[in-house]
Amino acid sequence: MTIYSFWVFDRHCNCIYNREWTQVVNPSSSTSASASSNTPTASLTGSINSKDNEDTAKLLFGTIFSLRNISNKLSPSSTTMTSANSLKSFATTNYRAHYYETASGLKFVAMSDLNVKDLQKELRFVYERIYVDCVVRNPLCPVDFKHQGKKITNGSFIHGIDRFFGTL
Amino acid sequence: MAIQSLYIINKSGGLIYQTDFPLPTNSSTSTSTTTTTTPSLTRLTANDYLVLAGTLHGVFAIASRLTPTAVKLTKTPPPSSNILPSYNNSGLRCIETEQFNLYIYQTITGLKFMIITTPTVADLNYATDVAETAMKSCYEVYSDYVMKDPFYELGMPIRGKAFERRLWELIVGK
Repeated sequence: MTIYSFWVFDRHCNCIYNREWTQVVNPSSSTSASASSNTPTASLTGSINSKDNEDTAKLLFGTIFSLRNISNKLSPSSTTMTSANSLKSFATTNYRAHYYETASGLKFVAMSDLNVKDLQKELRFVYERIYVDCVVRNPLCPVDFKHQGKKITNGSFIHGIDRFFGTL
Repeated sequence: MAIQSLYIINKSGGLIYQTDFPLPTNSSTSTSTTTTTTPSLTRLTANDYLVLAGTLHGVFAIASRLTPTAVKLTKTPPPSSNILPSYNNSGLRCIETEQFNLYIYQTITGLKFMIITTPTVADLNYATDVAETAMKSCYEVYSDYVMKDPFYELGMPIRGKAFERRLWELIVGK
């Protein structure tokens, strides 16, 4: 099970956080969760909020947006609660992208290898426990990431994301 | 996993064939199942289907651009030894939603077959393989009943009755 990257989009369609892990985590290196949280392991390499990912973020958002529209359009008329979150994942021969959207329009996307079945619960956990705790309840974080290019640079959020995906 | 719908998209992204299949229903509760347990897809207008096909054609290409760097560095495309392999090396292959799953199969000439099935409980990788087999069979029918039709113009909508009849025999079984 490998997670390649993790993305957060706000309701203004801006990418407010992106994290790409370039080095694959060895299953043997993450045997104990405490070890990975104390010492920087292989999972901590890669890029955080990299400028190179700006175009990729736009492409990814476009893909998610189109697929979500298609899925909403084709879905049989259902309750409004489920229709916001009807898209679960999409896959190519190389990767699978998992998608979770909150009621406030925040979009969480995680790219993984094809053997990962479902990350909906994990993405929900990231929102409930990491995003809400470190960003929403943080008085120093802006309420709305209105300006283009404004990103989450909060250390505890970045650390929390790394630790959570490191344990997966 | 039941096939609900089939789309055929030509190499330039135009929809050339679209059909919806009836879901298999239990004979005892035939009236209620269609409305409650197995809801079928919403019927769209003909124009909406064209837009949908065009969008998926674009997203298909974009999805291959999104391949993570880690995969690009390590992975080589798996060798395909089976007959009629999918020529979809890095594009979109499967979309999973709450209401349906969508699978895409690309032939060597750039023709895309898409089927929409009911959500599967089985392993997604396995379901993708099963769906691809089904689309291969549709491709065989296409080769036999569309490509060999002397009145068919390449890339134009498929109107042949024989193709449609054979396809229904294949998917619905009647």
